This record gives sequence, C-alpha cells and structure tokens, in this order.
Amino acid sequence: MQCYFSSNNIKYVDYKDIELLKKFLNPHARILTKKRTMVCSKHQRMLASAIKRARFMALLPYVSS
Amino acid sequence: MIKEKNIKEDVSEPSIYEVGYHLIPSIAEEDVPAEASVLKDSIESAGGAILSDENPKSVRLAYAVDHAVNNVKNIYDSAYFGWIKFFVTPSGVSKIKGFIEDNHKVFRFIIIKTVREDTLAKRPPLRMKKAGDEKKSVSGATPVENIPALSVEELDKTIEELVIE
Repeated sequence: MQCYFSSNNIKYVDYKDIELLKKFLNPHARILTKKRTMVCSKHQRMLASAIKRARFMALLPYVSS
Repeated sequence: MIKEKNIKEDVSEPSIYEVGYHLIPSIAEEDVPAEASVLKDSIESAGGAILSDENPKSVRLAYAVDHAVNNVKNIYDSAYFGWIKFFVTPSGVSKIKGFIEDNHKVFRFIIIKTVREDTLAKRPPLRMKKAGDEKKSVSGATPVENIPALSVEELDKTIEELVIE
C-alpha cells in the first residue's frame, strides 16, 4: 500500500482539515506511527506538524480519555 | 559575499502566510464579520495582500483555553474560528503579529507559512489498515477446515510410522 498523500498528489497537509487528521490519531489522541499510517516519511513529518498546529489551536486534543 | 547578499534578499522577499484565529464566544453572531474585517484591515495596513479567507464560524474547542486580559483570566471552551491567507514581507508579518496580540477579541492565533493553492480541497476517502488485518492473512494461509479429522488410533499409527522412518 502506498502513502495516502503521495498517491492522491497532496502536497500540503492542512492543520484545519480536522476530519482527516483525526484518522491519524489513536483513541488516546496520540499520533500513529508511520508503520501504521503507511504514510511516507516526508508526509508523516508534514502530518505531525499539522496535528501539532491543530492541537495548539484547540481543534484537536492533546490527550483523550 | 554573494551568499550574504542572497540571504538578505530572501529575508525581505514577500511570501504567503496564513493566520488562523479564535475570537471570543461572547461576541454577538452578527458582529463577527465586522471583527474579521478589523483583522483584514490590519493585514492590509501592514502592506499585506489578502488572497483568501474564511469568515469565523462557531466551533467547540477540544480543550478549555484560558486567556488573561488586564489580569482577568477567562476560560473559553468554544470560539469563532476563522482564517486569512495573505501575501506579505517578513517585516509585515511581525507588524501583523503585534496588531493581533493587541486585539483583545482574539484569544488565540497562529501564523504559518503556506502555499497559494487551496489546501482544503476535497479528498478521496482514506482507508486505514486495521490491527487484525495481518493476523487474518496469516490464518488464511493455513485454513483449519482443510486438515482431515483423525481418530486417536490413526494419529498414533502415523506418529509410529514417522518414528520408524
């Protein structure tokens, strides 16, 4: 299976795209590893930055019970 | 020398930025566009050119955010979230940052470098690999149904045959 972002020609991961970012979090709101997300290293870094920006803006939680 | 000149040029070169902001929820819904236009005016006054924007919408925050104004701490669990994409020089960005910090109606904001293209375009659905997928494929390689059922005597006989060999 290929990287979701590379295969769909997505060049930029937006921190406002909450519904997409939520799919890369586990039930505790931690970022999934690239082994599980199947995302390439470049997009995994972009994804992590976008999630951290969304957390700062309180659009995503830092922790979830 | 040439390298230094290039660095100096890059520093003053305008690029595309985006500001995302949360307005305090106590603002009346009809006054929200006016507050957003105040921010747009401040960007334009700093020499920025607005490329695109989204009017603030009421959102539920993922966690309670506190913000102190004149030593009075307020805690917000909802806000009006909006964003503005603009084209400006780095010196203009620091001016815009100052304007937004002084605006008490904005309790949290973020300024990031971005791209001109629409980053919120429609995406195809994402299918994630489930935790049990690998296990299923392993068990599928050796199906249990294909193993013939043997009685105890038959089983002993086959073991004896194997031992003799």
